[in-house]
Amino acid sequence: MAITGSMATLAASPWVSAFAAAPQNGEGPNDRVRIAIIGTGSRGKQLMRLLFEIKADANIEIPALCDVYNPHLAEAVDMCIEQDIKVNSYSNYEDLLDKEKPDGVIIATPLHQHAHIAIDCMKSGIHVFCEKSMARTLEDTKAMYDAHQSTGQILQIGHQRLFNPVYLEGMQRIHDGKLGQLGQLRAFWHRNNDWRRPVPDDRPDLEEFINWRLYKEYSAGLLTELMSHQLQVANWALQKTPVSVTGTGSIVFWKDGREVNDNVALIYSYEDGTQFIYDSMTSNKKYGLEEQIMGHKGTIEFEVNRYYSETPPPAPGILQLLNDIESGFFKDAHIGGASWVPETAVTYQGEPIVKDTDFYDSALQLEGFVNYIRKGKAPEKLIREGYNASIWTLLGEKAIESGEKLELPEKFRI
Amino acid sequence: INAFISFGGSSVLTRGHHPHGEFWPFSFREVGIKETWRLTNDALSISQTKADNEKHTHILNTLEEKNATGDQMACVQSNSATDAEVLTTALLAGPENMQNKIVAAFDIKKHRIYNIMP
Repeated sequence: MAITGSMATLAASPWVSAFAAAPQNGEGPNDRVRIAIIGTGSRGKQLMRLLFEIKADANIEIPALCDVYNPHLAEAVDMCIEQDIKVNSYSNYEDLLDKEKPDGVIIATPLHQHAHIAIDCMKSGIHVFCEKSMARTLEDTKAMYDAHQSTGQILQIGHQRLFNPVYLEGMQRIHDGKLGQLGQLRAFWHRNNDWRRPVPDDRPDLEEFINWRLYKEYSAGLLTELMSHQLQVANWALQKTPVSVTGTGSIVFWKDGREVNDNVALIYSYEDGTQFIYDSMTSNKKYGLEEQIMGHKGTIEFEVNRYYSETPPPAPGILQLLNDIESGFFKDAHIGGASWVPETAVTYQGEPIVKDTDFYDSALQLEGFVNYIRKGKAPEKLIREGYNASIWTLLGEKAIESGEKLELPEKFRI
Repeated sequence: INAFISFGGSSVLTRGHHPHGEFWPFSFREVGIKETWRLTNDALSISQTKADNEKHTHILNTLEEKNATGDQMACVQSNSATDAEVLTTALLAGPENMQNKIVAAFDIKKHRIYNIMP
């Protein structure tokens, strides 16, 4: 799995160019990077599958897994056995750290567990890849960041779009001014499902444990689990963080005992007046998900890899006439015909941002993590993106709860 | 000056000539029409009774309250852009036996009605 995209893109993104050009993974066991996984639920197992794919090229070893819930741990161990990988399994992460001393860990536990596990790992001299959002509370988010600063261990948050060639190329164009002045950013994530995982019939007491995303003690629901990705994209495009947030939310459809909203709408405002307008809901999937970046010269829709100029190219007949004139030819201009302007506008499909989309960003971010471990550090920009997305996501939750427009408390400024 | 101004290929205004010839060699997107119209200081308009994906014509004869029939394209070349625009619609809206009479009332350079083959 290779990084695609133009060399200009790679050069401009220090966290990618650091390893895209000439990965030196070595072949020997002494070069091997040992990665353990803490939290082997659905996302943890998906990250494991990606690790299996990059394992040989990236020269990594998976010595151990940990999960407090035995069925998930057993599934994950089985997956390793199928790959001929011998793993040790633990239900207590402290035992894993103590006995295995991995080079790095992947933390894919429920959100409220991220902070203390990540901090303990960093204090033990272990590099951390932690799924997004960073943590359940503002204080925990700051504590994780502070632990990274004081220990010097890598803390990489799972915002995989930072490694996605479509986003890297698109952001390059945005930062180069090809879209002109950004007037508004808009994003949404719409789904149509209850988000529930099955709870064993004989264990109804596991409801909150398994469906942690639906309960406020463990998660902020749509905000921390979905919006944080797209808020990270907005900050990245604008190269700033917001100055305020206001929002509203409710449970309109899934009145099933959950505590988190199934319907949220927020506006993040930036210093120059630009707005990032966000909504998410889970009882209609027609519109899916998208990040729409609108500048006075062009538009980008990232999730469909599309760039649109505000001045679409002329029709083929005119292009041919222009070419003929430039080339010195006197030829018929095949231009005439009744034209229907609304149709012309509708049929402008834009153009792809990146043509070759044979990559998987969640795998690329893991390749990055392994490479940074070899170097002993990761670009600071990455943790800042994760931190800012987490802090402003959680402020969004507070804005919805209080009904107020909130600004960043100074103690959380980095 | 030499200028070629086109609104989607259906309303055209020209001044002067093509930089490499003595006129603007205007031709059609429609493959079946192989003519070249020579434009210099001219306006040209094209109208069609219906668009490619339309079932019914959108051009109406309001005097007799009936739609234009068939699938035709009218093209008019004139000094006056207004005349060209108005006449392409009028020639399609009015009855066929009135076309010559309509054209005779205006000072235009050239006109054609084409039948569009399906």
